[in-house]
Amino acid sequence: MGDPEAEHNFPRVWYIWRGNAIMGSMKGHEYCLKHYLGTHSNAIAEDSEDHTREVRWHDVAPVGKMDLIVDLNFRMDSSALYSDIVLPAASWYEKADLNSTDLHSFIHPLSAAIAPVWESKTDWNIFRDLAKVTSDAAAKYFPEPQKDIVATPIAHDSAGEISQPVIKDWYLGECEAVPGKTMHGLTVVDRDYTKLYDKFIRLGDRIRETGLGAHGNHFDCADAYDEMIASNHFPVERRNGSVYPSLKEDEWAADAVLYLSTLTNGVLNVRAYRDAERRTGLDLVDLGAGSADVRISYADLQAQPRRYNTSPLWSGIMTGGRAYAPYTYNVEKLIPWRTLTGRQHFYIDHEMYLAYGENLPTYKPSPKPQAYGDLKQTLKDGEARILNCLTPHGKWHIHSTYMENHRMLTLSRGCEPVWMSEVDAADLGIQDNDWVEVYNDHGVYCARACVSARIPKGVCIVYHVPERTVGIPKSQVRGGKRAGGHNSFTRIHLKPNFLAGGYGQFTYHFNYWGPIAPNRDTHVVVKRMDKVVF
Amino acid sequence: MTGRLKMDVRSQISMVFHLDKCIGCHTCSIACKNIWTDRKGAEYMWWNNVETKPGTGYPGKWENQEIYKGGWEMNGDGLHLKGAGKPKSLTNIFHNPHMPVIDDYYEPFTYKYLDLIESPAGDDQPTARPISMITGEPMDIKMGPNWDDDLSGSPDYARNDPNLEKLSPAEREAMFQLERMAFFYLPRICNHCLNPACVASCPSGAIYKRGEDGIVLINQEVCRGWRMCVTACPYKKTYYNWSTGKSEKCILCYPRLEAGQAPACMQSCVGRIRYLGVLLYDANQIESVASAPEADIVNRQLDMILDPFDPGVIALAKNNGVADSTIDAAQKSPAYKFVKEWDLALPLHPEFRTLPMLFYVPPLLPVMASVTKVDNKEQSEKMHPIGKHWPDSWLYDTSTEELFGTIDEARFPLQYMANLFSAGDTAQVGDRLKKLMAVRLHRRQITVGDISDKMVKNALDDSGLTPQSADDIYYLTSLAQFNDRFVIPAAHREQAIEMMEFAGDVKGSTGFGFKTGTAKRGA
Repeated sequence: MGDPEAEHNFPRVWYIWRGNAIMGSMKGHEYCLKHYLGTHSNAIAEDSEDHTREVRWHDVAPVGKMDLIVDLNFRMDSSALYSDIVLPAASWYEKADLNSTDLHSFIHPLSAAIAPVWESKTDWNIFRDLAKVTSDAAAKYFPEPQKDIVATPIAHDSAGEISQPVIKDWYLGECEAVPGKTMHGLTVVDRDYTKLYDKFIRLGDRIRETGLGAHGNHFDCADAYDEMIASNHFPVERRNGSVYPSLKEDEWAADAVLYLSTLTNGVLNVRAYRDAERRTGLDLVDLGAGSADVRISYADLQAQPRRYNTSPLWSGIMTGGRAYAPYTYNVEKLIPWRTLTGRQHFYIDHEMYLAYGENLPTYKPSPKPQAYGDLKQTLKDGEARILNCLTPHGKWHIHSTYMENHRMLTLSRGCEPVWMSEVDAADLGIQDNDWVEVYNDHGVYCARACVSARIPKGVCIVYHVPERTVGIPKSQVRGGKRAGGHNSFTRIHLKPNFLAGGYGQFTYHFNYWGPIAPNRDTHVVVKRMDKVVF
Repeated sequence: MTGRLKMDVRSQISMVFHLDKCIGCHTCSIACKNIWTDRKGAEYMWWNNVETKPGTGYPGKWENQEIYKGGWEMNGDGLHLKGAGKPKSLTNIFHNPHMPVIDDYYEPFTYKYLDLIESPAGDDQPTARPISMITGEPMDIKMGPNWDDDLSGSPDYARNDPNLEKLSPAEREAMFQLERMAFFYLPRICNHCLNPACVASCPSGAIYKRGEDGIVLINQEVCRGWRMCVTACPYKKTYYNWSTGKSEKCILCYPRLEAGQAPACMQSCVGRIRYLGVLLYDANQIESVASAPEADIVNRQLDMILDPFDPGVIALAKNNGVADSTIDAAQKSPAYKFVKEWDLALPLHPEFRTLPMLFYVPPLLPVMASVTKVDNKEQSEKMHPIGKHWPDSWLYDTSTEELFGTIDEARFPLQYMANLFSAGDTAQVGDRLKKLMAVRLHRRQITVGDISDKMVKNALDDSGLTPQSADDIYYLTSLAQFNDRFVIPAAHREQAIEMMEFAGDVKGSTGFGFKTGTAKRGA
């Protein structure tokens, strides 16, 4: 924990699933190439004199920490280029899966219009097969259960989020270290790797005892679990005289999820409302009354779109056919906002937010390029026009998905161009469609310039995410090495406020709140290329 | 009815595009491309494309008939094809100087993907470089079907939009100032014209307009690839297939229409901007309307479109063999509502004189929100120098009091819209925009209530609307379901069968038999 760069702390194996992590998500792409993968990198930045004191500092940062990268991929994206093993995966139209969002009230079933092409397999089958071979190998290498200590952040909607009224660091000895209260949670977990496959294909009976829930809600589901076994409507797995609902096939797993969710099982929904009433003292069960008979199966979703139930695990009231809008619960049913005070906050009375001047959302000018320090090496020998480079969402593609297919490349000038203002382009001697390099200390991206009246002076834009797989030439400013993508000229800026945790709304929740790298806003130099080599 | 003794009533399936609803996503283009032009020789064709305006479009500067010589013109003795008339084409049949070449469209490209897998080991990752889909050789990508999308390359494209002619230099420059700039999208397919220049120009007689729905088609068996239609069409919506040696164009997805399905472009439209319905028109007026003075063409063309509820029109339609189901569809037609009943839609470039039968509701939104010069020193000083390279003394004025006035002092010059939709007559476009604005004011009063009754009443009265008609427009614009937007008569399959054989013969033999050769597509 205190020495993340020690060899025994390296992350060694990385499975990439449903993402283009190495190009799309990886701010500081070039540093990832160097330190994670140990391959070529176009970064020329030097370490700052200042460095962290909380963890052990290594003067030479380790290179190539990863041993193995396995990528489930259906389109040979940039991440696949850098993976040791690429497993051909079924696309959206070749598998069963469930998609949903918190922006509308429908569940989208992915359905196999055709069987997975050639050797590809569904995600479910790939992981199931991996579980099988791992279990088989474990019989030899890990025949006995192993103990794992798992560290977990203090979670939102748990008691931990209100357990520490002031910032005290157990690490510095400012307070006693109490897991789940003054520090992260620690759990000892038994891992029986020989049973990985058995567990993968069966829905275990522990939920009979624990029930289910999320966001501070809870409901019992023992009867629903028993029904799944007794009703003959769900496939089962038999083992040593016990019977379990089967999760062997993707569609069966989807049906198990739907049967045990308040959104698609009205009986459980009413039960969850009763639980919520008990906890809050508010009348809420009326919201679920009309949905008591609702059961939505995977086949139902395939047949036609269906709205799911208004549920206490959800953030909006949709009864009576009402369109979803967030926070209607809080406004109309007086359910406390999920904040420390239970109210909406504009002003945050939190010492770390006060210290950073972030306690009130007010206008703050962007720091000067010098403060960011993205161009120290690049401009060591002189001056150049600095542009503020932004990498917003593209017009058509979703991150890198759909960016590099033939249709979209045809409609996007065959690349992810560098949008520039007419004024900057004229000053820099750049014509529309010229090849240009966009670079700073972190790396370089080479693409065509797209000169446009709709871009303000002083700014350039590269939509994220270009793929290294298509039409990326070699960089002149980096001595003929292949240029990267939009993340090549970014790095990770941690926003310190996001490190404040265990405080009501500032408590970790997966994919919602945590120490993310907040933006890719950076500064670059743009230069016309006079020779293009692929 | 009076004064039109010899009406020849025919029916046309017509599309209306509501440009305020177009988000420029190109989904229509993709749907069309995937179904119809994903073939050798057709790679560069986009029967449906979407253009950013201002821009030069696809193929580049297609609207400039000084270059392409498309459409018709009036000269001494009447109406003539501008560039590729039959008399001209027979003498020039082997040399047509006004033909767009592949670079006017774009050279279709793909990438050498195998390089990603087959490149030898090296210090660097491989990349798939662009190659031509025609030659297979590495190429520089210099043009595409939407090269000027969202003002891409505005110095070279948007600023050279042919529609900017007749605008003052100040008006032009204002269109490209960041604080005042606006653009909108123009989706385009074949206009299935009443006076189609492509039909008139074809030396082989391969192009025809279908009787029952007015769809203009190129018979692939008869086409000899002279390409006169490519020149003649002022919208550049016929394309030459270099592989089959035939010309092709949008077929309004007639196989889908005959099965009761919407054209792919319409079916896939994310913004739901498209409406498809029947229009009845008087074919006897075609020549005189196409020959009318430029300023009169639009109104004369709209006059040709007949009231489907008029008993006289219905009788003459029936006389002409128009089916009852077609007349019924004409009475429910969303196209009729936009084009005639509400007078909200206009044809694209009527001055080309082909009498295009697709119509556009001109976009209001880019016109709105005037900008006002303010002197805000404090605000100006706050800004970081890197963001201060443009004068920050302009602010949008979106106050409702000023909304109605801004049509005349538009952020997007009215003259520009007029050059697109009414042969340069700003009054005709202005009338439509005033209606659109009146509907918005009316609805705003209902939903927000922050403008006066008097202002709304004046707006409705001025534009010839009533609260009821404004609500109807609002409904069909904003709330309409697919069935409201897509109203066409069922195809009479029995008639189609009857034309070929006795209908009873095919009964009982469906689905069993031996394949006796297939007509080769396009060959």
